[in-house]
Amino acid sequence: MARDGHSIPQKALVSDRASALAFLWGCLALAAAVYLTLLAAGALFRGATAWRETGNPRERLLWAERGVEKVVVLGDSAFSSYYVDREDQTLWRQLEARLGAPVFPAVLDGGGPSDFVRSAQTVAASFPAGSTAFIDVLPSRFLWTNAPENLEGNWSDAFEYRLHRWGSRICVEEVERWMRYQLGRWLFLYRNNLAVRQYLMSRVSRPPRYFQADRWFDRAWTLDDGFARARYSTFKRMFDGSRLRSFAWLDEMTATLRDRGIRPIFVILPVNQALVQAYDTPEEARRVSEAFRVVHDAVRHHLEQLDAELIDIDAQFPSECFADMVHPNACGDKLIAAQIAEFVQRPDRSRGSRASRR
Amino acid sequence: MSLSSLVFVAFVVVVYLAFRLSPTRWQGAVLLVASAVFYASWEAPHLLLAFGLVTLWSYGWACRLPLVAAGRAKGGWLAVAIAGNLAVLGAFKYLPGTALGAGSKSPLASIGVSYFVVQAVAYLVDVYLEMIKPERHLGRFVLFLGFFPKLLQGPIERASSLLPQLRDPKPLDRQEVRAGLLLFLWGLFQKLAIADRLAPYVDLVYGDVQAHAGLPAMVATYLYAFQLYFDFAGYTDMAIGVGMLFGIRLTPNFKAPYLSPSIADFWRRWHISFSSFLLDYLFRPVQLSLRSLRVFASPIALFVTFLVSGLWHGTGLQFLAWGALHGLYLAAAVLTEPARRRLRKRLRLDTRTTYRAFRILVTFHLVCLAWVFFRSKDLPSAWFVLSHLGSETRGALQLLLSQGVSHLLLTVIALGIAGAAWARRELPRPAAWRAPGWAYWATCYSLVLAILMLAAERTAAFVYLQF
Repeated sequence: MARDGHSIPQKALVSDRASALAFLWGCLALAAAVYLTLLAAGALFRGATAWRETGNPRERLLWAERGVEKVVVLGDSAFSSYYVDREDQTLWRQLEARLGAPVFPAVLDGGGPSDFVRSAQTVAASFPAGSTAFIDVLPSRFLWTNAPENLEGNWSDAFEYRLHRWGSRICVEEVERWMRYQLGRWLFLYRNNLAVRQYLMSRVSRPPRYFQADRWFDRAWTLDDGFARARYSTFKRMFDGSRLRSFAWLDEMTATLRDRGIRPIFVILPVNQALVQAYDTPEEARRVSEAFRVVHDAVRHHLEQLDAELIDIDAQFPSECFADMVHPNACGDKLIAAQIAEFVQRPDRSRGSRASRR
Repeated sequence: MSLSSLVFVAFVVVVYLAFRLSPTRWQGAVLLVASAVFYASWEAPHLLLAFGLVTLWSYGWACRLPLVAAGRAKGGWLAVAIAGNLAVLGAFKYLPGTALGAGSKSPLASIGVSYFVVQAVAYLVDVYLEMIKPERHLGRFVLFLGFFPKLLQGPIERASSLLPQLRDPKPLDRQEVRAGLLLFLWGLFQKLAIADRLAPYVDLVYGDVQAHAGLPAMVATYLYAFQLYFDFAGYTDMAIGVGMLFGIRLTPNFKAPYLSPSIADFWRRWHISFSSFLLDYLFRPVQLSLRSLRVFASPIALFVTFLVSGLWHGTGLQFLAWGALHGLYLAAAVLTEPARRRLRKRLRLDTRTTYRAFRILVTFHLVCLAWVFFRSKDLPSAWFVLSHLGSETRGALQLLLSQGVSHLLLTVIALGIAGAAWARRELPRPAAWRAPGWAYWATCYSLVLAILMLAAERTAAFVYLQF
């Protein structure tokens, strides 16, 4: 910009430029110092602490690294084993015991379709070919809710540090995600800050509890404390009259895993019909059951079209093995693990097989 | 791109390099291009259209106004010029879903428009009153309205302050550049480590006020007061910091507002650039036109001014109620001032520290009362919060623990750092930074690490972007 009236001496300009560059060098040195600090602190922290002990087992996909596991459990709260009292009662530990092989829990509570797809991408990026992924399929997952929904998923921020693929259109958000991904890729502390904070906080406060905390304990829906009934009311409010959503995310998950040589096996979970009948009028209960049957058949048909392996855990699932309308308790997790193991170990397992018949 | 994003940091580095390596006469052009890229990065072409309309309209009228002889006609032309700008504001901000509003219902659909329109109006009035000469250089005028750090949510700059800096750039001041970086980091800390950490508590309560009546709502309102302050002050510090990197001093927007002993004083310390705009360009003319009402002229003018301020924030009735409440506070203060002055004199209260502390406490609570309207999604929700304040006396602890113990502890640590920095009066006042190089870089280093360790897991958009 031209100066009106007087001009800046040439000497001052040279000095300006030198000062400006010196400042920039200072900034670069600052960035390098921060980077090296994070790198060194990350390596130290990783090697010298038992930080994994304080991590939430239900968020392991976000902070833990794969060990020797070749079996993965993918999904949402239905596979999160919230209603058990100890980790050895969880679905993944029971499956481990039955299969005789280590199982990695890659479930994320509250995951939406986008989170399912990103979970599959994360698993595909870190597990070797020949691995097997069991994916939970809840009928309610295929209905639009009546409440506003975050289409990006509930874990999109957390995945930012884990995954990056350029989208079809590059925009500022894409560049931001790429930069975060690159930082997370190289810096343990940046990527795993959730687990690190949890660890640090557990040193100064009570260690976090992940089992038997608050309402999360081994319980049957018949326990008369209003919990299951309140959840059913919420379900009715959220899903009543809602439409079927697209199944495209099932296709994307399947393709993502198969491309990497990972075998996806879908586990269609049942709905607690006894609860529906107990909490609703006969007419309403029939309507809800019919709605679920339609969704179930549509999903099953779609998975068959995909030529996907599936385990259909049927209506014989005992009602007392539910903590509410859809979530299994310890007994439910045990049954699911048994049916999965039976499917895997069956010598003549065929695609689209059912664990048991209606 | 948000000011708190990594992309913005990279963008500033590139612009800084281009700016400093360019010959002086091209530096303005570098900033101009950078501002255009920055605004375009929001990917809303209608915003560029709005900016273009306001800029060309205001530029044209400002060049024409001095040619018109003083008198009624000149005032009429000024009214036309202002009306044109307000029409753009109305079309882009208050008519969401229209073609101009890009059919978007997003509150960010009109991002930045309120700010550059206000600045353009103030510029036109200044030219009309012959307080400044119109800027003939179109590029410089565009930069005055659209300088990228302040484009989205201010500070609202006066032409008399910013245009001379653009016309006559200062040689590089090392101390100022260093202070700029520090201020930017400090703003980032306030936003990411404090405001974004407080936000989940507030969102939880104000997202479902019926489920959090009473004490939790009260606690959330206090937390909101600080969330809003750190969010907005953080943005302002970042904007001022970036401005300083390019040798441009922007107007400070905050001066410890929650330590104000009166509502009038609060408005001298909160969103200073906007409140001084309201005072000079709205309150004074209204007050002058109502002077026949004598003692009632100022209270009515204040009430009208703050109603307009509420309307500027949004068309929802809750914003009007917020503005009306502040208008009432100030009107009542003006009307009762003589009586209160006599009482203070009689009781010799003016020199007492306890009385000052009491006034600060009362003012803070009056401000918080008004924030209930400001934060609520609608008027009935605000009324519910206020009418149920005493209904439930438990639940505050559950609210504070709702995000986990670690979240709460880290929030307290971040607030502690902010409190310590404020008490030492070091970070918020970068001009005082004459420390040796190693101390300066060590502070920057600590601040970056603090941001990385204390930043909230989820970042939210700046609150004032929606206005």
